[in-house]
Amino acid sequence: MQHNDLSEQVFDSLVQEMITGQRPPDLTARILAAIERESQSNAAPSKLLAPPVLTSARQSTQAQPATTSSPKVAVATASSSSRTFSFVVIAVAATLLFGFLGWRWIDRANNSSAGPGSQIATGSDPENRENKPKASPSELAGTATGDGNGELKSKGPSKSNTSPRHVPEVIDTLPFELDTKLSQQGSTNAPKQPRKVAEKLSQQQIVAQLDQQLESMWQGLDVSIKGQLTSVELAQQMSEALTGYQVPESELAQIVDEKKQAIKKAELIRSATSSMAFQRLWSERLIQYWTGRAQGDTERSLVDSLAQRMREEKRWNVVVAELLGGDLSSEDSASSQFLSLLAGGENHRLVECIGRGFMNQQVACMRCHRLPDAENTPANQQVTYWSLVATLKGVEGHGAGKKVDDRQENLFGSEKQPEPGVYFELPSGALKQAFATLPDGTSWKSVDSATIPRQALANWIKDSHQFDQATVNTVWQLVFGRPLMPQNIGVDAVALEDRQQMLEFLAEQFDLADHDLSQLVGWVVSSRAFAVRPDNLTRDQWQQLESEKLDQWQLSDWTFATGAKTSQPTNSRARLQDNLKYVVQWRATSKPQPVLSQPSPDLQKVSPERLAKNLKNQRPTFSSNFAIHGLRHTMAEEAFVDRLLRSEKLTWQERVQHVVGLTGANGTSDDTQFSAKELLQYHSGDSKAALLDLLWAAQNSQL
Amino acid sequence: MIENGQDANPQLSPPVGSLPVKDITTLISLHQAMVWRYLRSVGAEAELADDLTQETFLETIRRPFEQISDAATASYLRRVAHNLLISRRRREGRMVVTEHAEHMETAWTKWAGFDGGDRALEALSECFTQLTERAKLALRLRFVQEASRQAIADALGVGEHGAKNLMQRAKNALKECVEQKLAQIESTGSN
Repeated sequence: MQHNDLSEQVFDSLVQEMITGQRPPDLTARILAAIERESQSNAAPSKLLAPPVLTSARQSTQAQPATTSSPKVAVATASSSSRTFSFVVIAVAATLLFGFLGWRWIDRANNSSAGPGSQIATGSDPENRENKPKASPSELAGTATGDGNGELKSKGPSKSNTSPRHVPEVIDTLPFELDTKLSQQGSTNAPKQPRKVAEKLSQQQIVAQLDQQLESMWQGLDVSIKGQLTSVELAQQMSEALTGYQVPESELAQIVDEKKQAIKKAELIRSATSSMAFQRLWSERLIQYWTGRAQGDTERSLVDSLAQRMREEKRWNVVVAELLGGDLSSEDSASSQFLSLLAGGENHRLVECIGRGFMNQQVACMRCHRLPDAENTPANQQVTYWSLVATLKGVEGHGAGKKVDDRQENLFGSEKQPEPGVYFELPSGALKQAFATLPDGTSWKSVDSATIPRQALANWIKDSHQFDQATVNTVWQLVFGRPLMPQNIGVDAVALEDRQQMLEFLAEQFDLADHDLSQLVGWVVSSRAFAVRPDNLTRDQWQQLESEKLDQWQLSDWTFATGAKTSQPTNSRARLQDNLKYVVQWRATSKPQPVLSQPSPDLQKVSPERLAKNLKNQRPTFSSNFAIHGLRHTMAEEAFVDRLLRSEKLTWQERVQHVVGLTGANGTSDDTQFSAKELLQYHSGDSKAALLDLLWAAQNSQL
Repeated sequence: MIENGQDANPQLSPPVGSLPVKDITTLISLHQAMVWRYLRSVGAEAELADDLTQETFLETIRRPFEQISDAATASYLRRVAHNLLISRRRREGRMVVTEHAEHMETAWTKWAGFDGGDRALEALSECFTQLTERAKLALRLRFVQEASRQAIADALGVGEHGAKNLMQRAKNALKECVEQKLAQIESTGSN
């Protein structure tokens, strides 16, 4: 390489540091810790502990001619004879082998009481070879040592045994690895106090209590309700939300007493929820929510299956358990159809769906790091995610509608063979192994009725409180456009205690009502929040609103005081790509100013034909009805983005993924990444501004 | 400045800790940023630079060590870091690192001087503000986003050649400006 090229290279690296602000990290503590470790293990000569690459590096160092400016360095006198070198190699190999065997023995002993799920599979196990994400079994067998807790330190061949590659300080540079002890952190989803045994209430009592909680939340935040829908409007909106259709004029008089402005809600709900329209509409919505798909033959067939189960008034938790743990021998079974839409690869889509849809937890984050601000429970750890992956091991999808293979009986049926596990990488770079355990950390074999882990998981979910919470959150989101309670800490941080209380209350009543989905939907659409009249401002009026009023509106929107988003919830919000395009367009055509566009809450009145067409094509119904205003970012939003930007380990693409993933959407798609890049360009490389725009687009889009 | 020199006895010192802890800490805090920066400039990724910076210091203090001057120590540390990186790349079957360490040393000292690059970065920041907005945007896209030349051209509304010329001019302007500023600092210091 020419000298000029090298000069250019050095200059470029300095320019890069100046522009990106990626300064050298303070590695003092880390290096001192490594030195300390090496000093402590000094009983053995350091030369013995140095892996081959360091030896070669040392030789390489020594081989270089000393420059005139080099300090006087006495060359180490450790140059060994070939016999000594052979001895060293044998000693290193023996040390590693005994260390590895010793660790395995200790680990087996430590985990023997935890059931087969905690067994460490051998490195020669072909299943492990398939699933280990980063290192091959031979690498592990040859280079890994254990810490006694089932954790394998991934030591690249160039890493010194005595100088650990990662010490805790490094983890601090990750975005969501907090200093706070886990036990000191609060959880948003976990109940604040031990659950009390709730009393089963009537529908009227439930709605009254829910309304009381909503009123209390609004009063506490000084949120005022602008107005309510008239009885006729409310009846039509309820009917649309429940069945997708308005009440025929001929039947309206039977439900609404216009003079008294009264509505026979119970009657309307009972009639609507027992109709086929309700069963089909809500089956469609739920399948779309879980799988992100609704149009194919498999989806339609699955809708029929779910609608049939609703008609039979099956308990909803039993229906879900059947979807997850049912028979896969037939392609036509509901379980086969459901799993075929999500299974594949390592089943990450399936795991994420189970977390979000049935465990009330966005587990996608836990694939790479533990949850921020979360309690130190197994359910918040990375290992939970990978245990779910292990639990679904052997469920092999081949595309939507194609038969799902289930090899779990072969993999988990033998008492003699160790159970297969999966390897995953901790943020520190260490490798860890996870086995098929239930989300609470217990062995899947503790579920008596299950013969394979998938069934055990389905049965565990069926009886869990998390499932009740997840169902309430799902229904709420399908009606109001956002979950009652965020599934993980992010940017939605308003009135969390009140919202948690409502979630708990509805989840308990859902449980007591024998998991009757139609009743739950009925309670939600009967609530005071559903009857709120949305602001009917024109686009121009929205643009002219003062910041204070916009902030007030934003607060109202966060607390469900701006009414149901639409009677067609899943199709009312713009898709992420539409929103992204809109923001990019806005940034491209306007002068830089602190304003942003967002959909105005007054939904454009559209004809039933247009609505049906949009519904069919999965298009938002109000794409032309955007307002542009000075929406300011909240402190929570800015803090979230700042935290991402502080991380030196995240690439730009990963930051985008984190922002978009916050809403459960897929941030890895090329389109999303491309739009994010465009935003960065329009912000002249200002990452924070670009990510905040992206966050806005994600928050205001449907999943 | 490390106070050592007389204390360390090469014959009696253990393999680790031939320097007193105080001196080791000083050595690390004084040079770690420079070593990391150097490794990045030779082509190490950020995480690898973390690892090799650590290895560089471990490798250095495993031996008897005599401090002559900060500049000499810095140069020695760079040489160790360079060799560690070459070894790593050889193992990976990648040979993207120059093996001409002395050429790299010359290039490094040209821009980063003897203070680990702090002054050069300060000068760069000042010079960067003097560039046109388009030039700034082009460089940001190039270095922050690692955008392709075509993408930069699209963002600027020019052809690929135009983008290349703009970036080249911007970098030349930066180099000229930084050179002037470093020369000024040097002359002020020598006066």
